[in-house]
Amino acid sequence: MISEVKEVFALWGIVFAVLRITADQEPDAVGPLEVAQGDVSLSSDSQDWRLLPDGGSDLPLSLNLTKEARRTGSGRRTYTYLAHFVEPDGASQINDRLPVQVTLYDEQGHATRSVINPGHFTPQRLAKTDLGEAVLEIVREAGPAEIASALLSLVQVESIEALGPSFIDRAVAGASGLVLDGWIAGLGDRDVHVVTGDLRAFVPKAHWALRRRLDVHEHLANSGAFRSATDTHGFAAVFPAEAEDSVRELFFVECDPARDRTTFYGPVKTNPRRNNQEALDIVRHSFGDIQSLPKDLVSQVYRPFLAIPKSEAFAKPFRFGPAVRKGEPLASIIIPFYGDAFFLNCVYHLLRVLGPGFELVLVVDDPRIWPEIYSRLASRSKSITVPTLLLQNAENYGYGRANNLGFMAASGDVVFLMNSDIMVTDPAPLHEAAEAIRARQEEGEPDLVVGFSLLYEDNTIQHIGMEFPQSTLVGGMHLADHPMKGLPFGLYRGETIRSAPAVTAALMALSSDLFSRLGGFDTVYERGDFEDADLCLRAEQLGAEMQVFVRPGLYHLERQSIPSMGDGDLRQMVTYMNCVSFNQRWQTRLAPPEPEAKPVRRIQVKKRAAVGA
Amino acid sequence: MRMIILSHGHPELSAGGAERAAYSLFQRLKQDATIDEVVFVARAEHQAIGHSANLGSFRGRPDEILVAPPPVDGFTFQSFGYDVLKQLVDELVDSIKPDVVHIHHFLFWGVEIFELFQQAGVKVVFTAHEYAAICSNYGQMVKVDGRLCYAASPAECGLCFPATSAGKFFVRNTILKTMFDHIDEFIAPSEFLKDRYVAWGVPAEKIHVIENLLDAGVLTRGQARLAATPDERAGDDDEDPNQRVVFGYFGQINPFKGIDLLLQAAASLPEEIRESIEIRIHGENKHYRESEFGKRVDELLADTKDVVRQMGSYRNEDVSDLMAVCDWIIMPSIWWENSPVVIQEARIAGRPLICANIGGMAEKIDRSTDLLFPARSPGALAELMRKIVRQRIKPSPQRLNDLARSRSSADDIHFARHQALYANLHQPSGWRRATGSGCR
Repeated sequence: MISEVKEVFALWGIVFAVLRITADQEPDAVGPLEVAQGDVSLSSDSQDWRLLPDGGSDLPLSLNLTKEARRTGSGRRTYTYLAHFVEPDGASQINDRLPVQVTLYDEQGHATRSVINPGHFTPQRLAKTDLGEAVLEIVREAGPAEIASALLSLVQVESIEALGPSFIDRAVAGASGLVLDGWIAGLGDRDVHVVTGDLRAFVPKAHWALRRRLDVHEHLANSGAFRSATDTHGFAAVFPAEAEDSVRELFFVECDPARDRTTFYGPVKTNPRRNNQEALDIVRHSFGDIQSLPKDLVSQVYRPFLAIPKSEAFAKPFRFGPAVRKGEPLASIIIPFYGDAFFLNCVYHLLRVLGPGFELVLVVDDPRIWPEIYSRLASRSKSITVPTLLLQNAENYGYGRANNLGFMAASGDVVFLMNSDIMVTDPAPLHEAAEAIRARQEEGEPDLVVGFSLLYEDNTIQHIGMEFPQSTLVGGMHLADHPMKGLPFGLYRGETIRSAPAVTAALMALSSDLFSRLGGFDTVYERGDFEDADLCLRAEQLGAEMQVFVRPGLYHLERQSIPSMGDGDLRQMVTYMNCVSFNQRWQTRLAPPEPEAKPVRRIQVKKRAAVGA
Repeated sequence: MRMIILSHGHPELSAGGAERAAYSLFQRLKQDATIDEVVFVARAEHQAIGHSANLGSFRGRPDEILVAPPPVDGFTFQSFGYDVLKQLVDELVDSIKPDVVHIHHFLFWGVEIFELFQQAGVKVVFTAHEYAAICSNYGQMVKVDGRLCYAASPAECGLCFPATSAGKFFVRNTILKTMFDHIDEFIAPSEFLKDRYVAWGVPAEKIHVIENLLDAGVLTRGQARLAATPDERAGDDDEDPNQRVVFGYFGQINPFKGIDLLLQAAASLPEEIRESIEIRIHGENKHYRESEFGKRVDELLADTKDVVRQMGSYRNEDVSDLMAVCDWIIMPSIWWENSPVVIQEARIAGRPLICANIGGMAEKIDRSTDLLFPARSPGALAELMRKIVRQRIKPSPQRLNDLARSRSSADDIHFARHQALYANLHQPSGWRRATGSGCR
């Protein structure tokens, strides 16, 4: 038996593989087929494969001479199959721009491995080949609902002119996405969606912003080109970052009103220009203020212009100070730098007071300040008495990813996450926290996430634990709030170790093991906001306990790193977007218990238990 | 005992009160039999060293070393080249082997010098000459809008420098205070300066108030003048009623010294008073000629041509004689000052003073001979000058002579107190005398 994987491509969260098996008769004990990339591995059993009638060639349907498997010269037959792999949770874990490893097992369990660069699919292939027909069937069964429902029984491709009058006024690329602004005659009454030429990104009309275009309406009426009852011709549609290089060619996808035919109109060439502010302005103008949008849409249309692109992260390491001493407990302090190298002064101070048992991991997440930070550290290398690892990030990756990178390079069994504007005048609480975290690990007790009382420079409270009250400022969503903020620390009369729902990552300690199990910060949150609250709630799910060590000598000189992030307006939008993500994820956890229902429910549970016993 | 006197400049290269005080102490220590060796180490521009090394000697003198340390961060005063600075300090310590280093000013050196000398096993004495650690506005404790500042706090300092957050001032304070922990003995030339540093956070018991030493040349000339018989002393007993009252200004011409205020006061005096006075300006405007301040001074000088004589710069050893021919020495500074050397020099010259009533000036005057006016008020100064002329106010010559004599011998006491401090630090650790405010 000879087997060969001809092609791999990903479409809308489904990975497809075309494979050919040459054998005397149709094989029945083959498989499974595995597709792997990095840590992700997907598997498809041969019973789920589809036999393609014409050998999977891209010949148009009408030219297929036979729908039987082709007979080879030796009398053997070649069978062509389409295997598919549905990624868990619809998340695209396979990056179709990187090679995948494909493994096919034969009936004896022998593996044949090959490495394949995934290709992409086109509307033409979808419409005109057996392979396309098989793909369509699978997408209708297993694809995302809004795409599945748009792909009707007959799929065809037409030129853009056949769509009727239409125009793309602007295509503007932003930080990690692209917005289209244009019009299609009679759009308000039509069922039209848009997809990139390689089919990577599909934006259903439900995610578009539609608006009246009286200018277009008048033009259409005067020229007699198109008559319609509706004057809603205008639209804006946002493509995510993944589509960035494929968005140069688009197809509009229209479902026939009789619901029996889907037509791809195109290709339409776009020539996007890059201007994040303009893109954001189009989004705001077309979709409305971020606060006014349905929560689902916030992320879809605003995130591409508020988020830093999630390209692959690279960092170069530089070492200073003594080497890490093997065999002794070590805590790693990870400090990301962004915007202002001034706070290197806090590191100098930390080096003076810290003592043994620590290493510093400084992550410079801002190429603008790298030269200053590097030269400053290099010129005072003799003052660096603590093992120090300096990471030069190739680009600005954002707070969460910078910390995660720092963690990957850290070697301690305990990690401290520390903002650059933290000033430690007394390191005793850090030693204490590291000990407490190790003790829990050694005793096999629940993990500990330690936060600290942090003070402003005037000895008032900056942080003493976080809470999640609902706020009218964000439409009744839950905020990550710092209670007692700004009150003199001297007035605090509470416990010296208090428990809290969450603690700030401005200064936080936890075991490397826990941070690793959590997978670090979730990078869905942008620019240093809500990551810590989210991390704590996820830690809670893993059984960890959050504590605040209330100790003097730890200062958070907030206010500094924020102004340089861009204008306050942008910052507010980012915060709102993060807040939406956080609330969507933790809705149940954050919901206040219903005061009336609770006791009743408890009685019912008891009764049932009694009956069951 | 072996010693280093460390200054932020050599007085022959940059004439400021602090450099002169440091150098005077050095000269005095050279005469002291208990000192095995003392070296004067002054920071200098690399150009002044004249060759490629970071170290050199002043005019080839083996005990006067010039050093060009790396640049310093103007905000936190930490060195931009810590490693190089450490190497310089280590080389100085290795070759001089000092038991004690007495540091006058960490500016231009980097505040880490305290730590570096201490780490090298050297006891550290520090004389503060202004409020550099407390105040980011040239260490003057004057707000950027010109008002006097009474105490620093990060939030208030942030108001003076809106581009710099309160948090950054906190960082600055924390770093400087930590570095100050490496000082073994802290000297304040005035009670006023001590109080400011105590309020800022230096423990009171660590600060000794000891007056700066005067330049040996100034002392010698002053003492010679005192030793001369009264009729040999020029002008002392002349009672010519038509003679103009001479007010002398001595010092640098910069915005903090209040020269413009003095000229404003002079310009506002009525004609008949102006006819009876003369104001002598001794000093040069080196750095502010092109500034707004410089232009204002030029305009005021034009308005007061009839009473003001610009005497130009002067050699330090002549100051006593130049002062002796004035009736009053005026010190109109608009900042607190610390212990102005002009006051000490006027004392030796036997002249009475007119000073602004704040800070080190108010502290150092003698109430039996000197007069104060409300600081920063040209009107009040004019009124005081008018009163002196109208009422022919003249302090007792005898009293002035007594003060001059006592000042000319006071340096022995000031030096002895320095010596005691050094000796105490040099004791084997088990034998150290208790120091503290009691030894003042």
